[in-house]
Order: sequence, then structure tokens, then C-alpha cells
Amino acid sequence: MNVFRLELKNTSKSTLKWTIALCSIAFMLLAFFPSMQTESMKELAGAKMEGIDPALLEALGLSELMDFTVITNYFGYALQYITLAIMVFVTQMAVNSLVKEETEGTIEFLYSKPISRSEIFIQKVLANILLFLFLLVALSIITVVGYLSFSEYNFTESIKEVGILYSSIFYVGLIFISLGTLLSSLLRSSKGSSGVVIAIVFGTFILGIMSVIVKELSFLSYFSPMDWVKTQKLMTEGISREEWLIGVLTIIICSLASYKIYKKRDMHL
Amino acid sequence: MDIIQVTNLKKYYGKHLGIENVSFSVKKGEILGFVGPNGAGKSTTIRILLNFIFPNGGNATICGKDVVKESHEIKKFTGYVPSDVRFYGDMTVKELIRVSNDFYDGSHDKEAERLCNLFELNNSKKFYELSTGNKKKAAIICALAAKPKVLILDEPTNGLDPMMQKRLFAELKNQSANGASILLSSHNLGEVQEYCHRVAFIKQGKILAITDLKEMRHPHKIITTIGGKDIIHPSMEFWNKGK
Repeated sequence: MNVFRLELKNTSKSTLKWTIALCSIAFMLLAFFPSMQTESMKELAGAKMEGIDPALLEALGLSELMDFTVITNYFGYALQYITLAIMVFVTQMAVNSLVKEETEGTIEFLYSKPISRSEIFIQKVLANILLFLFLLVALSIITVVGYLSFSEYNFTESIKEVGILYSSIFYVGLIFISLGTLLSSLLRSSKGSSGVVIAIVFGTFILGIMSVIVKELSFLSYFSPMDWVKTQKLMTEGISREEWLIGVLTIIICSLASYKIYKKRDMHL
Repeated sequence: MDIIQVTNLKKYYGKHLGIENVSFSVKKGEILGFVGPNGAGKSTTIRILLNFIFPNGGNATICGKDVVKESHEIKKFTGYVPSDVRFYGDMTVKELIRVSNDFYDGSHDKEAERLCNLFELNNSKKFYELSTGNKKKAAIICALAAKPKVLILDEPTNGLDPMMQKRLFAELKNQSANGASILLSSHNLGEVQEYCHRVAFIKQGKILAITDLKEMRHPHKIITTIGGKDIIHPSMEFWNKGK
């Protein structure tokens, strides 16, 4: 598992930075929750919500009846933007995993060692998944601590809710990792990959918004994995059968395609 | 016995020719110089041998194993020094050598230590802090530490000072005397003449001549036959024209 260790070592710094940043944001947002429960804040939020066009509210992931004095609603709303950031992170990590070493030239070191491309591919993907899990576990712990500190949830309730939220994000993250890995096997250079990553993540996010605003385009939500795990939907409907099917198929197809392409591609130096 | 056998190897980059019908062999214990101007196809050939890129035609074997299908096996006994050494910058030389050795069976720490002493390389420095010459030394140590049977060296002396070049060639001679087969790509005809047993000349993707250097050391002797014609120093002529 040399490549696995090497990948962990090479990516751990950026993972740690993202983890610290996202955990801090999540904790700060949770720390504001008690202030959402004061009467003046309730009135303020209610008045503001009433003044906004219902279509815009839906586009922003807010329903007209959303009650921010419930922590699930309050944190769930903030979590969709944290999820967006998580997806940018995992997609970037996956895009870099194969092609960045070619751009930097370090791949010559690996390719000259007695290890097959299949092993390199598998170990790099596994390292990415482990680092993603590390980020989610850290966020889960922070969220549980926040729930216990700033809401009336007990430990079991917190664990249950946080477990549902982050395991769903894990599933969506796997979809973005497989998409990112496919891109990594296709790109000739990691330079400029950030733009592609942003386009994919925000593109799918915007498709989700369009599916809500324009009823005729509601099918677009199937192409917006982040839409599948919006907290309110998740807590009431869960992930639908179609969403499971599309997600799992995307993961399988992208993983197999990137594996095949990577095994047969010329190194670009 | 041919350890490296290359037969009619072909590689195109899109429409551009990389190499065409490249054939040569390296015998057990032999040092074969691989000489040609920039862009001649030396690195392309080497990259095919190491399965960094795939050929469009022909085939190549190392110790009887196909370089495409059995690359993983080949690399268990093959060391490689790249022309432009770009390893993981954040690692110290010691870490790099350890990571490199971990890919091979057995312990190679003592050999790595001997090589660090031989090339006077401070292994506590981070890779990005090293000069070009020291980066090359680190690559040489990583390639030699596992005592490979086959060595593929792409311009290994670039960046090395004359004393280190001498030490490297003394080490390579020692390795070849112990049975290692070495493919040495170089721009420097002087070092090839002095240390190699034979030399293959490549230009514009094609092998021009393969010459025994014992003959080449006699300046007025007809040394090579190409296409049924005896040609006086074709390699040297091409080399001079190449300049």
C-alpha cells in the first residue's frame, strides 16, 4: 500500500485545511442557533421570509413554512452550502489524484517502480475516499457537539440526525469523486482543473435550482445530486429509488471508464 | 544473451513521428550507449521500455518479458534514472529513498547508505532544496539501491560535476561487471566512447547505426556496414552534422 500512504501524505495537508475551515464554519453556525430562538429574531425572520417571492425562497432551499427555531431546519439550510464546499473539495481532490502527478512530473517516480497502474489507480481512489471520510467524521463530531451544546437534542437524537445527514453527503461525495476521477483520467494537465471542478459542482447545483423554479424542468433534479440530500427532503422523503439508481450507476460507470482509460493512457510529461 | 531486445518499435504522437522501426539489443553485462541529438527519440524509446507510453508497433522485451504486458514484473529488477528528476518536493532524500526501497522485496538500506556516502549526498535535506546535480544523485541512488539487473539511464550525468560523473561510471562499470545490463542515453559522445561497450545512434526517430566501440576507437578504420555499404564513421558524421 505504498501509493496509498504516499497519496495520504501528499493530500493530508489540504484535507486538514479544508476540515478545519469547514468545521469552524459549521460550529459557528451552530453557535448562532440559540439566538434564532429569541422572539425578536423569529419576528425578523418571519417578516423577511414573507417579503420574498416564494419561487426565490424555493430556489434558495427555503420553504415558506420553514421554521428556523428548529435546529434541523436551521442547520439543514446552512448545511446545503457546506455540502457545496465539500463537493468542491472532493471533486478537486479526485481530479488531481491521477493527473496532477503527471503535470508535476512525479509520476515518473511511481511508474518506474514495480507497481501496476491498476494498483496505483485503486490505491489513489481509496486514499481519496479515506480522506473524504476523515473530513465527514470530523464534521459529524463537531455537529453532534453543536447539537448537544446549542439545542435540546439529546445524544441519541443528535447521533441519529447527524448520521443521516452526513451518510447522505458521503453518498453524494462518492458520485463527485467518481466524476472527478474520470476527469482526471481524461485531462492532460491539472492546470486549469479548478475551473472544471467549479463548473461541475456549481453546474449540478444550479440544475437543482432550475428544477425547482421551472416546473417543466423538474426532471433536472435527477442531475443534481446535492438536491437529493437537502435536509428537509432527506428527513421527510429520504433518497428516492431513482436517485439511488442514477447515483450508483454514475459511480460504477465513471469508475470503470476511468480505470480503463488510465490503464491505457500515455504518460504526458 | 540479450537482456533488452527491441524489435521494430514504432511510436507516433498523433501525426508526428516519435520513433520508427527502432531495433537494438543489450546483452548481459553490457553497457549500451544510446546517442542522438535532442528530439531524436531516445526518451520515447526509454519510456516505451518502462511502459510510461504505449508503442504503435513492434515489440520489446526485458529478460524475455514483454514491456507492455509484463511491465510490473520487469520493474522488479529494473532501475531507472530520468533525465529531468522531479520527485516529491516535500520529502527529504531519506524519506524518498525509503519510499523507493519499500516497493522492492528485502532491505536495501545498507546499499542506499553506501551510495549516499559514495555520491556525498546529504539525505536530511528536502528534495526541493536540492540543486539539479543533487536531485540527479538522489535519482541515481533510488535506482541503484535495490541492485537491479537492468539499468535504464536517461542522461544520468546531466548536472553532475566531473568527479561525481567519474564515480557514477566507476559504479556502473562495477555493476556491469557483476552482470547488470545498462542502457545509457547520452548527449556526450566522450563518456559513451570511454565507458560503453557498444553504441546505438538514433536520429529523427530512426536508428542510424549500432557500433562496437572497440572499432570506433580506431579513427581511420571502416567500422560499420549499413545497407550493404561500408561507411566510415557514419555515427560520427551524423553527430557532427547534428551539431
